[in-house]
Amino acid sequence: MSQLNFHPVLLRLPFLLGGVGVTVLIATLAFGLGLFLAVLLVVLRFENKGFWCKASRSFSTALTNTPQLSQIFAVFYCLPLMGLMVSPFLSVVIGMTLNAAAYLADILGAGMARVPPVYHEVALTLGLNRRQTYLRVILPHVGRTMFPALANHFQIMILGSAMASIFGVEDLTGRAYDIGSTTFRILEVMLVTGGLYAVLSFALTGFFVLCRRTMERMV
Amino acid sequence: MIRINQFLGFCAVCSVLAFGKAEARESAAIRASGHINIGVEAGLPPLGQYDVRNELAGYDVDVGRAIALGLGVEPRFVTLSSSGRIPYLLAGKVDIVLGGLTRTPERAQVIAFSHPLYTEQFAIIAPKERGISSFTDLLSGMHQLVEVRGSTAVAYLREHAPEAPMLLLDSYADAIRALAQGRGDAMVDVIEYVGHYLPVQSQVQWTVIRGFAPPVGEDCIGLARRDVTLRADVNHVLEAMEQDGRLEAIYRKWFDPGSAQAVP
Repeated sequence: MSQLNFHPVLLRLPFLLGGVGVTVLIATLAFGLGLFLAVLLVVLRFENKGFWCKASRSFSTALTNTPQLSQIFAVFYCLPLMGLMVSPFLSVVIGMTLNAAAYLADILGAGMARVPPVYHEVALTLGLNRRQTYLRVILPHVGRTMFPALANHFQIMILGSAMASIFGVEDLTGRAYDIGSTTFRILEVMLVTGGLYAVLSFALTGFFVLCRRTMERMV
Repeated sequence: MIRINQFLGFCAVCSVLAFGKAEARESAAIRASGHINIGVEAGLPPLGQYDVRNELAGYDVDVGRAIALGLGVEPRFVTLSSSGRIPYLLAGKVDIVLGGLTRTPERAQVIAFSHPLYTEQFAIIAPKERGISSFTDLLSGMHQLVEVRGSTAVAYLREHAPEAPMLLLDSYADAIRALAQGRGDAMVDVIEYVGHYLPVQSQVQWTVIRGFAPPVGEDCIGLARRDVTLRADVNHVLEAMEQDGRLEAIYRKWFDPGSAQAVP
């Protein structure tokens, strides 16, 4: 391993670290928007047995059976054909949001299916309407029970956001490739980048453990 | 896609280093094995592309075959991307690499170069309606450039037009498509390569501006720095090809003879 020379990479470490912020921003935006969309999708499934239920299920089927890369590619190159020019950053966020919505809807759907029927009956007895029942009873319960799966998906999105670099976004991976193409120290820069992803992932794990404990104390 | 190539290149570097043999093969090892691994870009016509029979063809492929013939071994082509050329070579994934590899001082610190194959010059490629008429227009930083990551043009622009914002994509096909769709105002690169993609975007009226970049790049074959013998052998074959006119014939076969200057 004596051939490794990290010096040129360490000189550009501030530039590389700037990519961590972009990576977290992309994943957070896409996860947040995706979760909002997933709630709508899953409510459609449980409240409607007709067209909207089928549309929601078809959406998830289509997006969980095609590569996320193809979905972002479609947003990036196909929207301009329809006269909609979206920036590379926004293209990636939109593509990842749609993909996340499909997966998160399935996760939330599994959680909703496990909500005891008595919860609905109690909410009805207390005089809550459907909207209040979802917001105050069902979704908080689903959020708590499915928290590990949701947190896991967020971490997958952090790592999966690396494909943003293909579309010219200067995220952690994009900046790593930039440094690699100018210093030719691609192995060194990828080792450092891999380390940064690992640190980010461990930090998120710790954060989610804290969140889980806080939620358990609140119940 | 291209990232997969880069990932494989990265894995190759890791695995080779882990086992302590992080270098391209020696000339004797190549001859003993009976084959030479040649890195070419398959998406960079006229240097490399898949023909109608889905076989690799192009200037680099013909030169690679001639080099292999001169060394008395079988050519085995490995397709790679612009940014994967040097990592593949450093990892020993290929023994020599082509793909429009311009000789630069930065690259010469990590790999060796053969004698030049031909010369190249940058041009500005822009949709006509962008109103770009000279390189000076790009200096203000008002025009978004679309470039290919790992190309020499990126380094050139960072030095000569540092204010110009750049969208870096992974292939010439992607870059030209993005430019045609309006994601950028111009691209600076070697017109002999990029020119092949322009007819695909025929809905755009293209402007090509030449002559702004005095330094003429020399495209060479890349080799491992330490393998002096292989470099000498490859140069010897190139000299023979130059003398008997084969190098010039291959060049004329794939390039427009009037658009660039062959190295004498």
